[in-house]
Amino acid sequence: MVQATEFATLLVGVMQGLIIIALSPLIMGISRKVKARSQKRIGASITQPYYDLAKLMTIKEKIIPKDSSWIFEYAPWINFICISTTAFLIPVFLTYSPFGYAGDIFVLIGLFSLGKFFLILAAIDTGSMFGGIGGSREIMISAILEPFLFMAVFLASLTHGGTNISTIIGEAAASNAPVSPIILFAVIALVIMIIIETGRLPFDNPATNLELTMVHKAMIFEYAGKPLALLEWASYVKQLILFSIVINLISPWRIALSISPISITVGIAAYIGKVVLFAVLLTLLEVRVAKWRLFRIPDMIAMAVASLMIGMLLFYL
Amino acid sequence: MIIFYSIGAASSAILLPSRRQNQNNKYPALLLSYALAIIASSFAIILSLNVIVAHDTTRFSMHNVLPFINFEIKIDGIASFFIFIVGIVSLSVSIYSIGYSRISSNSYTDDDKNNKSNNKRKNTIATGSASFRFLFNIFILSMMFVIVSNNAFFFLFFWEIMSLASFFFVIQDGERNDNNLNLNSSLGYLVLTQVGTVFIIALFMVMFSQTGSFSFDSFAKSLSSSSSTAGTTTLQLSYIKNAAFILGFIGFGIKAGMVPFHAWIPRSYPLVPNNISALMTGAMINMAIYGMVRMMLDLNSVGPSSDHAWWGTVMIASGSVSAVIGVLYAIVSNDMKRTISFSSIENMGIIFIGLGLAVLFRAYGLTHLFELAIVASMLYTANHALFKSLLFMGAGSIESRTSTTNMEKLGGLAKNMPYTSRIFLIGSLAIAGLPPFNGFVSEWLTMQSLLFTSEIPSAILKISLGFASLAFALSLGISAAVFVKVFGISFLARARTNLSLYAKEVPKSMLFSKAFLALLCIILGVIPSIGINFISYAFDLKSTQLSIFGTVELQKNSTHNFASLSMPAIVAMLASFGAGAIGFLYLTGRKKRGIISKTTTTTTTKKITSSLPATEYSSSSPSSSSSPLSSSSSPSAPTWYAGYPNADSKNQYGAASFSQPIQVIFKILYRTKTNIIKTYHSETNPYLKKSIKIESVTTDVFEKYFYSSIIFVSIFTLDKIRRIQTGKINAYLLYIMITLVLLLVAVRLGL
Repeated sequence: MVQATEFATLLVGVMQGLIIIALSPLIMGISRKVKARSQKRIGASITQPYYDLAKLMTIKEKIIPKDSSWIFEYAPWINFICISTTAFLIPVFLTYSPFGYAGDIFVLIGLFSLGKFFLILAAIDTGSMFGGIGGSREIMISAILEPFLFMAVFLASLTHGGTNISTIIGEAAASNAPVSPIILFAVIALVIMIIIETGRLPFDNPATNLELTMVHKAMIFEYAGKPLALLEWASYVKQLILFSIVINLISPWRIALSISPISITVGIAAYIGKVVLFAVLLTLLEVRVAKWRLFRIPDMIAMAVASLMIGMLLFYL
Repeated sequence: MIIFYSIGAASSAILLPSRRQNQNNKYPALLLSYALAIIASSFAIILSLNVIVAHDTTRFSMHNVLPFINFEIKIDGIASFFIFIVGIVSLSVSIYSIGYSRISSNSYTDDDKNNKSNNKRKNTIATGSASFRFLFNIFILSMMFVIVSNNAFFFLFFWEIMSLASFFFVIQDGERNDNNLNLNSSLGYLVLTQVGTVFIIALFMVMFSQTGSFSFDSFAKSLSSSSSTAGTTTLQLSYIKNAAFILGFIGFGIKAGMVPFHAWIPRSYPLVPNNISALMTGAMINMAIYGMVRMMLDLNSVGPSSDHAWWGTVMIASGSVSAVIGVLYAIVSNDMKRTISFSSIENMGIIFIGLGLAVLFRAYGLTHLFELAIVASMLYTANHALFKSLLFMGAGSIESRTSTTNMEKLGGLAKNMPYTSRIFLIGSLAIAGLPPFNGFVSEWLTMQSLLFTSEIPSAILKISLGFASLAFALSLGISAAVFVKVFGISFLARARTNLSLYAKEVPKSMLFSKAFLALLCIILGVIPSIGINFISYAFDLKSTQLSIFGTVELQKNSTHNFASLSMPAIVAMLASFGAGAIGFLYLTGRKKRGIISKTTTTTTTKKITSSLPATEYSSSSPSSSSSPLSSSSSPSAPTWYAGYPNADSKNQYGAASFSQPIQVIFKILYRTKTNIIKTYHSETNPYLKKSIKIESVTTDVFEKYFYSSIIFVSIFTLDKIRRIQTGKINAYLLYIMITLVLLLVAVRLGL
């Protein structure tokens, strides 16, 4: 009996991770569709990212820039593995993740940075100036993003008593009160972080025709075939992981509190609904703004830090 | 028994090369002196393990070596922890030095195709010479003795030997750069380290005035806050303790390189031979931490009263400033060794943050949090010793093969030096604080200690500590950037000059020593319970021991699982997921092989139909831009340089351009001056440019404003004082007279 429930927990845990990995291209497809429609285009079908991935994955041959070393070959794999592993650490439609015990939110940040570290190295490794530009910008952004991520975690741990993601989400789900103002400050900061990390306007424009203005796409410029599929997929997964954390933090509405078929079904349905809603809202926000200069990102981050500081003052005073 | 042996071996190691002083560059002598150092450090490691595991404090004393002063040795848990670190570092550095000195002496007759300059040769003679080896052994030995001394007098004596030995290293390698700079920086080092010693002497004098003895035991006894004996009131005692803290903090802070006393670090580390810089940063700088810990926990112990809270606050403040300043200067430097030196300042800052938190928690009586913070900072100390000496040895390997550490001249080394590059990568990942390496574990613990400051009962302190954590997090973020730059620019892509194009891999002894440290970095990262248990044994902490593969778990209010970290589980997850992902992709890649044409055609038709009215493809542009490349059959293709066919290695992104965005953001610290010099083919036509040269100079703000003002003030006052020195006998007699009268008056008044 005990074994059966343990098995069920484990199964649900694996399911949570896989659902993120499997669903992530769809979310990307939806947000692209929304973007196209709001620009008065028809746009590709929402399943287009799946087709793209499938096509890239079937390409057998490897193309490696002649100046690069082993880093270039392994970086997409390391990046994909790091990011996908974190998908198992976070609660998705259940208030906790059975694997969440292994690591807290700092581990998640750490694994993201590990993947990013290798990605930037690979970008330098191509010997292309675009790779260097992209890498240099990416590391600058993530370096100045770090303090305010830490601050957001600080706030979340103060209000919800922990840095374990399962603890935070569990607490958020258990408290019936609407979102506390302190968490709201953290959420404002997190949303800004998501916009930056997922390479959206106004900070990064992956759809531009000029490599000089890109950040993330400039780094993966030399990739083709299977490694490119891995990189793309990893970026989709990363986006969905960040979405899930924020969604579950703001509104743990209808999240499954225990493992039973009904609650899980409701949980999954509610989760998908919320994620799609969030993605649509974020995309609508994105199409309203133009690209900013690179050096306005620090201003934005300063603003986010200020909002976090206000949140902290509110908590202590 | 063991201690005698270890000291004996080390001292014979000292004696031996000094006898052979005149036989330069004899390989057996070289091997012997380093072998003795290796044996000695292995014994030191065994000894320290013995003390820590058996929990018995070894004492040893010789009475009346000097009048009134006993030579006492005491090896307790704290001491043996630091002996262990010094032992590990000196063990691997000694192994490394065998190969390093050998390469250096060989390069005498070696091929000159890398156009090695004369400077290089002079430098290499120095590293192989007997006097060098003598100093090498003396240096390690003096550090060991600093740790074990239980007497202020001998502590200072060996502290001075240590400082002077390192000073000789700085100055002896002088021919490498221009002499003036070298003399300047070595004298700067001497001055700063001596000022630090003055503060430490003053610290011991203050303690001596309280106890009347130079023994550390008596310090600990009479300064512990519980006993206010010998007629001193508690108020006086607290004054003395505060004074001792300030003196010790400045004295040890200079040795640790805390901002603004950091100027000696980037000046001296890049100048000394690389094995010594590994020793200095891996071992010597830890002596400052040792002094701080000894003072805080033992001699001038922090009591559970909020009077001492400001000590912790001061330490955290200076630690945060050092962390940020150190890392910000590290990123703009384009010399590898200089960058790593600046990053040492950052790491010291983080260790001081941890120590400050420990002091703070103890002052407020939060014993469990005190233990958390002390474990965090000590684990960071050990990790820093490991990866920093690893990185310096890696830089040394590069320098010995390419004779430069300027990153703008390197590049592409990953192909020529495959093992060195992998080991260096491990070191970089560890210092950048990425899982699953050891740096991550200690940074995780420090972060958690910062989060737990919410337990401190003072609201203002809580808020300011929350803001201080911003500095900590910023330094972590930028340190990742620093090491992406160091590794990426110097090891990857295309060689920028011939220096790195023709580099060879280093000999096995150099690789082995680095691999040993890299292995320790991985082990301590994957199984953090080893390090944590080790420290809690050594410092005799009450917290429960972890099982080998256990989870580090922190709890608040004893109900919630506040945070947990199980690195073995994460590594297992990474590995299993990696295997799963590779298997999945392999399978999908194969299965789809039959229907490959079908899927592609459907997708393309879909794309075309769906995007006919659109202006652009909604799918990602790089995939389409790189698709022409996929048609080529060769596995390796040239990099795309925006259609420019004759791109050479200069078209790569360089070190300075890589860090340029961060330089722009924090420009207030750098005062960057950019000069653009254009030359034209003809004076009259400004459109045909012959060449454009851009110079960008960053200045150290502290050096410019802090030190120059101090130098100005001291020269000004010394100039005034010089007027007293008239050189006439009768004037001096007058001074003696005045002093005598003043003293008599003082005695009369009973001052």
